[in-house]
Amino acid sequence: MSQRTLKTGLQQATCTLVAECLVRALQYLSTADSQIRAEAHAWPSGKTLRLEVPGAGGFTVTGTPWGFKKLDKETPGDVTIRFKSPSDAFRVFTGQMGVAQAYAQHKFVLRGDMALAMPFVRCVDITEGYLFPDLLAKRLLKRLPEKEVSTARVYGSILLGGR
Amino acid sequence: MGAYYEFKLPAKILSGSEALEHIPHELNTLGAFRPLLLSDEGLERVGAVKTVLNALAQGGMTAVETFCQIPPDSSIQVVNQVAALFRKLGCDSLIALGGGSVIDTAKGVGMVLAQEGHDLMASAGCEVLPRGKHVPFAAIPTTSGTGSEATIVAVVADPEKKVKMEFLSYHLLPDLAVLDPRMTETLPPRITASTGFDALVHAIEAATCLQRNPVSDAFAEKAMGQIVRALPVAVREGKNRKARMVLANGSLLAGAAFSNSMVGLVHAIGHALGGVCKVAHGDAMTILLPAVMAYNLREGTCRERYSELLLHLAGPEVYAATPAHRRAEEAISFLETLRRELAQACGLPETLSDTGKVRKEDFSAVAKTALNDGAIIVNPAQADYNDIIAILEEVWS
Ligand SMILES: [Fe+2]
Repeated sequence: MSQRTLKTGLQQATCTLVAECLVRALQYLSTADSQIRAEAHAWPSGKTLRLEVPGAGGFTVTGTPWGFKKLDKETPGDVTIRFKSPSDAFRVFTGQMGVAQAYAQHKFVLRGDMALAMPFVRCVDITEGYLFPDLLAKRLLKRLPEKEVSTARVYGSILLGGR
Repeated sequence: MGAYYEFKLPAKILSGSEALEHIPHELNTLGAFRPLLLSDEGLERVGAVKTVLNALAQGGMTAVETFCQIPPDSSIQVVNQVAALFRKLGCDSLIALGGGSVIDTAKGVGMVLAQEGHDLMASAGCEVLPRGKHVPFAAIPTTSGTGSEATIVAVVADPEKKVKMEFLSYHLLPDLAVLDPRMTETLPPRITASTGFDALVHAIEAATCLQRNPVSDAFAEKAMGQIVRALPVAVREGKNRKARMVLANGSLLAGAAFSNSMVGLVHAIGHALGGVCKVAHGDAMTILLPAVMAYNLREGTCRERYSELLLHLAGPEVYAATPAHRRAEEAISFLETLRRELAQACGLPETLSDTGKVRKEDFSAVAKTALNDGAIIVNPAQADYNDIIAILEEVWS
């Protein structure tokens, strides 16, 4: 295996792992954080959002009055965000680039109704505020969200599968 | 400025007197001979449609059909209807004569035809579509505002959801952007001012938002200088062809700029005011611009960039005479003064209550809609629900 494909493979694997952590954190924060709870509650009923990384698959979520829910692996999205390359996704998933910067730098394409992606983007921003240390989060986010539970608690929930 | 950028240069530009007469030649070279001409009833009444048809005839071209029933707030349904008509008549190209609504309708039609589908909604999204079948497309703007003749964006209303859908694709860019002085000289002062302010906002937001890049900066900086100098003249003396052309070129440059660097919070709230309360787009831009710039400054963003913009807006003398720490505020007050001047000249609204279309009870719905508008992502400062409500309160009266 060439160094290049090894690197891509590692990036793809990291993306899969971080994506799972992100979904679990979202599920947990759907109850623990009032803003994410409100976004999940206001989510248009039954609408789905899918996020894809080339070569690493993707996941689909929906918002419900009880919080964000991960759907069956191949569920199509009413809106789909697809990164243009695994390295782009890697940069976003590892906190080297915020969602706004990734959008501004054409790192992903979006299929479907953009208005549906916006609440998700807000929730990801808030979640990043919990997952990353303030110094890093400040570089990724325009404004640091107020934490309503501790970062340790969020990481704990990720280990417990999002509960 | 970001570490990476993309820029698609605008269409071929035909700009100046008798530009219309060159359309047949240009369309022929694109392999098109049977255009469908799209316009609106107002332009048919003032004779603009006839002027275009005559110009086409000089080049031996006849429009297969002239469809002038495009409403000011075009919708998905109109787009699908026109696409069906295009197919029924066996047309091979599109000529759009009008303001943003007509040109964006034509873009939507081109998209439906290119994807060989029947419903525009299937094409919603950002940068996602393949090119598909190419339908040659000439855009002739009759307002100097949207810059749609040079953008990859189409805004089309979805009346059921009461929102304006935004479509972004590099394949929406017209092949020809035709700026002819005959097309804008009859535009009434009030609409000239309102649409011109929209163009100005495109330039300013393009020059300041997160997606700005060296090429869009060049376009935007040139555009704002042209617009602020030509706009008051075009409002006072509609028949001044020189001012009209400077304004038209400024609007196109601003369109090309924001098409590649996007717009920000002024547009996010403006789109929402349009969707929820039917405030005309240019009016919303006029009302919001200074307040949103002040907001961005308060949030600790844009100071350096707004300071630089003072040079392009007010010129070197004012820039040099203003102390560096006052330049950003001076840029905002320059724009407020321009707005006041235009308001006095033609009744341009300066506050939301001036429009007579907004009630304070609508604020909540407007703020919620604005939060879900993609333009908010690239605004330099974060804005949440409460921030937007505060801005709406500030511009209320
Ligand atoms: Fe605009």
